[in-house]
Amino acid sequence: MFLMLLVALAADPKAPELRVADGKVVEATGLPESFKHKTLDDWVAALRVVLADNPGTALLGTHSLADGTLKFEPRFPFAPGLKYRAILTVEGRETTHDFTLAKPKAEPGRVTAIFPSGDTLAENTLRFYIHFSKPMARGDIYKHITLRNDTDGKLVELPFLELEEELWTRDQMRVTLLIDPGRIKREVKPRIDLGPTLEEGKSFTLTVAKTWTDGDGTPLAADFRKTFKVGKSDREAIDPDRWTLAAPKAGGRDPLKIGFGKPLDAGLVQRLITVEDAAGKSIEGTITLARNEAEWSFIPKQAWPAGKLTLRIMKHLEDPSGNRVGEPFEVDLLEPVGKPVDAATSVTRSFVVK
Amino acid sequence: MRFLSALMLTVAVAACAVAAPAKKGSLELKSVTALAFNSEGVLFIGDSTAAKVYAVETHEKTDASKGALKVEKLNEQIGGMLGVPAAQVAIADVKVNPASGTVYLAVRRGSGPSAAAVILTVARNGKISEFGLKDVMFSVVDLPNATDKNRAEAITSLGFANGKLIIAGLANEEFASTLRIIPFPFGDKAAAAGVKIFHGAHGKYETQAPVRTFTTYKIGDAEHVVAAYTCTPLVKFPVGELQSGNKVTGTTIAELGNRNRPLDMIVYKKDGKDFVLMANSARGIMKISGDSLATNEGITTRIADKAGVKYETIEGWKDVVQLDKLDDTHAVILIDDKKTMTLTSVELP
Repeated sequence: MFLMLLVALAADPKAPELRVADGKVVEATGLPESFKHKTLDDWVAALRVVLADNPGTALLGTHSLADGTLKFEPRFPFAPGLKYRAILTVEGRETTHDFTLAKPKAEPGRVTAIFPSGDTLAENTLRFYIHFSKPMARGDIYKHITLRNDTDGKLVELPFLELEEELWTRDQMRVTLLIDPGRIKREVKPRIDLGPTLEEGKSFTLTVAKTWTDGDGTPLAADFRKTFKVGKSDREAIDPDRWTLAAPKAGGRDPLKIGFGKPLDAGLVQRLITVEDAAGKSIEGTITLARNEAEWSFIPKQAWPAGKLTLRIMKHLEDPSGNRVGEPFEVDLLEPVGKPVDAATSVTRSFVVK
Repeated sequence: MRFLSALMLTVAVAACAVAAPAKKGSLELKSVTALAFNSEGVLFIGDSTAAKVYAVETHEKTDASKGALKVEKLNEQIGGMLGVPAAQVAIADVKVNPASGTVYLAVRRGSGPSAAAVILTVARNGKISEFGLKDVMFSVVDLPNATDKNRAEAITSLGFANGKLIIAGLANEEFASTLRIIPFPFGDKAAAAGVKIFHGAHGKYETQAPVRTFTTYKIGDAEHVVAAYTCTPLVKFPVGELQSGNKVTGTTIAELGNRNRPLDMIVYKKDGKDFVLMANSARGIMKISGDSLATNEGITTRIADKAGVKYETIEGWKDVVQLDKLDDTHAVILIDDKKTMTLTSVELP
């Protein structure tokens, strides 16, 4: 009797079936003839797709009926690794189909660099860049990052400026971490109450925990630690007139080397210092950094032309403590330091290539 | 009276027509980090990844939505609609369309670089819908120089005052940042001009610092921006000073102190008096009297805790991460206790 029933069911051409076409669209077939005359509202009521562990809420999407097949296309593609359930209710009978798209096995990411790269950092360091080998997850980064004072072994309380709008590059392979500026700036309350985040003469360790996942949910391969000593605060404006500059020879592609005298911001030096020819046209080339971002080299794409060339430095270039060209991070109104600020957006230095 | 109503309606329609966005089309958002409305129901959408702000006509009728609102497990519901777990849902902003009373949410689905940006609306009965961006009337403004190599700029807050859109942003490279301002309707080659914003600390040091969140508030006849900086001072400066290329120094009117992140701000009127409400990571909700904003001449000497304007902390409002004015007597707040999110209306304190 049981066997006969099974045979009968299989032979019933009207038994509705559910499937997922190309992992993109849920299709219901074998619908009764009466279904042709139904409306969009009926289709929506008949076919619901939900997350299996959140069955109360239907996915947003588009329903359509063609050639007797009812289709549901989700507003956003089904995500790999999640269990979805399609529920078809026709003439009081419910058919369900659970499905999960395969999640490709991914290599775990890792931290590739942290800038500033030096092992001694200024007490008023404002910014770190953390570079990853692959695009990472945004949204909850601060729980994966700690700063420990190695001198007393304690974690620093609230060391970073925790922003909802995390400061990622568009590819999410580099994130910017700001030390709470309220604990760097003098005479503001957080610093008065808690003192500076980094303290001169002490040693600290910045740890990126492997709990941080990439954009597809795979955790990092390992924790990453950067240990550094803290030196005195740098409250000096950037002064390009004091940079060392070794002019290359004409006709070759030797690097133009500039010594800043102190580390500058690893991100900004890549785009705010340019070399211009006699006509003021930017010369194409490749920038490399050395000596913990205190040295900048530029190799031109074409051989150096002879003559007077110009190094153009945008005034919003900063060092890791936020000091700018001609203007320190904090301007002391009573004892101004640095050069007077004028309206120009850049400064220049010229050099001769022979 | 009937004549007066008709007259007012005409004025409103005329104002709408002037502000009508430029073209009909479909928007593809790359991200959505901040929202704002003008009084005619034009929705401004801050897309940090695309370095653009869109202005979209919502066409919502006046007072379409009334009454109390409460949606529990909001992130689970949205996750269910977008097909991801609640943990993959982030709400960057909550704004109420003043033309209709409908609540708008800026939502991110996913956490990788290909995460989707969605705008959802919440009706007073709790029904959540997508605000479609196909075939809408819209105009767009570019944020000049916002992207170059690895530079990106997070739009942290949007506001509208005196016919101008004000855009606060924070770059992922330089700290010194600009507030951007642009008249609306946007012109053909619209670009938001930058204003350098400084703030002082007790009259001695000043820094060109980024604004974390702000609101606009009329002091006397002059519209002001009341802003919280990343390093916590609360400052004010007149909107009129926000001219392209200007350097504007805000007057510090309060020190919010440590362990504190200013999150969101609104201005409202109660019993004939103005107040500013600020959601804040450490102190819950702060209520600041508008009178003291107007009269306070700024902090120039070091003062003990609660320096500057007087404020009170509103008890019972915990874990509020977003707030906006719902109507004359209510606010809508988003509560995130790190387990679940609740969107609810509350009476203005």
